[in-house]
Amino acid sequence: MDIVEIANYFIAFLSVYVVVFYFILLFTYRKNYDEEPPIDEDWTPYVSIIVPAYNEEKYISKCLEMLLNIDYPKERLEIIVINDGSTDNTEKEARKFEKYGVKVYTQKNAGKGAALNHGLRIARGEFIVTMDADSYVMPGTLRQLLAFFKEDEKVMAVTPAIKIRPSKNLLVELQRIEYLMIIFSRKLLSFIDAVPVTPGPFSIFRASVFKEVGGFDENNLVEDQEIALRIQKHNYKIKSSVKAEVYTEPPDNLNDLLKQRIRWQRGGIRNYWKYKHMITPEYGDFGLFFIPLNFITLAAFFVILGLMINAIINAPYYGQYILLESIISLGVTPVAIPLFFAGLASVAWLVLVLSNFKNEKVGIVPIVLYYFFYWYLMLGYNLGLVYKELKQEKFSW
Amino acid sequence: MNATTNADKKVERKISWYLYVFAFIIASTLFSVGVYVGMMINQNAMSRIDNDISAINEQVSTMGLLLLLEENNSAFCPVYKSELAKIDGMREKLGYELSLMEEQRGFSSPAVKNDYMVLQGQSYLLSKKIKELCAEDKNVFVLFFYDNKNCSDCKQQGDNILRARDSAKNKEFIRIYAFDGGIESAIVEAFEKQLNIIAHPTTIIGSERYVGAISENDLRKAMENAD
Repeated sequence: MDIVEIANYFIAFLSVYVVVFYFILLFTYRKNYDEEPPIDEDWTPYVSIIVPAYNEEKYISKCLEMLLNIDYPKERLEIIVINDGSTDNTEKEARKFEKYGVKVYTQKNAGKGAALNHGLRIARGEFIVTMDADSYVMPGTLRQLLAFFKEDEKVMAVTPAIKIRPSKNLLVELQRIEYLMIIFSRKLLSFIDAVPVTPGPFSIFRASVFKEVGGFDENNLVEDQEIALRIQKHNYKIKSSVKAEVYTEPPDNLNDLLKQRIRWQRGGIRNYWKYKHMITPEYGDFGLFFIPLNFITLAAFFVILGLMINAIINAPYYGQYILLESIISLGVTPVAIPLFFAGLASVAWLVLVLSNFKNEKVGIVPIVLYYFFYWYLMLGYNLGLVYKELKQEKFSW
Repeated sequence: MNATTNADKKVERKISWYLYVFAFIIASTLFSVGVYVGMMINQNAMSRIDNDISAINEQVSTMGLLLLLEENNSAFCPVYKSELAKIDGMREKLGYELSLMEEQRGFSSPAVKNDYMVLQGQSYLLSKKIKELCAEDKNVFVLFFYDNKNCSDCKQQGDNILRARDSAKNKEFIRIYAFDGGIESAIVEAFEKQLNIIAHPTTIIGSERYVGAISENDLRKAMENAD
């Protein structure tokens, strides 16, 4: 067996294993999936919402309008906008909401992490919400998320279902499917205490957790992931809701999407590397399964890329003499059938996830494109990650 | 609320061994079944190739017999040549299919390969005989001796021969016979002994012999100028 065959077997088995693992995880917790703690209308702890904003003049008004529309006593809510040295009219737009009690602070541009820490120093709430200025919260979301803290005092952070509004833009639709997949799998991961991120668009924390683990990393490309990993490192619980909805604005062109995702990939893999010492049984499923899976998945991408290049370079010249029908009737590589099984299972998974979100209608074209072509975009992110790391390019947003 | 309070709120980490073990058992089962099914599909494909080889072998033998019965009557040359061209087309396609199974699918069968070598040997001898009989025969024979296991240049040389044939002016008259010296085959051994093949790759084009890797360009020239 040569290296190419070993690589083929590795990829095939890994694909089958990961899909099967998620199915078993779903089967195990299928009864708990839809269960969310009951909302206690009388429980109204003080909540601070921090909105860091850099050049968000287009979105911030709507973001604040939606925040002011939250179903929660206004006197128990504090909204803090940290204008991170915007060069557009973000500050002006935000200040229009001061008359409704929104607090606006301006700092010299120092990055999102620094803006969030600025907000943390000001915030008085027992619970802290961090929220992107290009995201919109639904009225019932806050109460839905607070219920997790009421039910279990070990919960230190909760993530909502972050969604994208339907769009005619195909790229946005592809991301919409991806976000739904993430909501679903994050919920499953929460059952084994393996939520790896408290997403920037909206996450809620027990304020005390920051005293214990510290504030946001100001030199991090994905500070929302880093804080979650740090919370995990301190063995605190992060839960996930599928009912509390927050909508966010995704990149609507390939250039912006690549820029965003390469940043995520770059920051993400650096963060996992930073917390690689958690790969021990001491950190349970998170340490033993989730962190290694990220490294293995990244490695798998490059193994697949290598196999593709090898197949192209070593494509036999005689191949042109063999018509498609004889290639099909000529059998398959031994790993093709397991890969086919994994492919079928992935289709089943995709259908299962999308059918779970009954209010989210997704067209067949984006679904097909997502299934067959999204992988290539992800490959692009990973190639971008390697390129920028090799170039030692400076971190930037 | 302070850090001391939070210290009591730490999660007791667990390892869901049952998840990993179940996933491993199911994944291994699916994987094994998949590999088995893949091997069965390949087995069937190989059987089909073997049947096709036997069928062509039969046609070659029949033609050989006809040649003897007609006592080498050159009047039948057009028939012989047209039949042989058909046989050669099928023989080459089977060769490509066998290579694909072996090199791309990772599935080989020494018995089928040996049958194919016999077919090549018989076809070559028959073609040679017809060329001797039919004076106007323009066929050029290319005998390619290679070894799939112990020859780093052989694969490239095989590709070069095909490329050279496809770009040669007389490509419709070029007949390629490839013999794998890396397998146990009496017919290959006999040919190698008779033609004194001592290294792989060795290419014989007409009456010229080339040992080692030859460029596509040189091969094409040799094919175009062969007697």
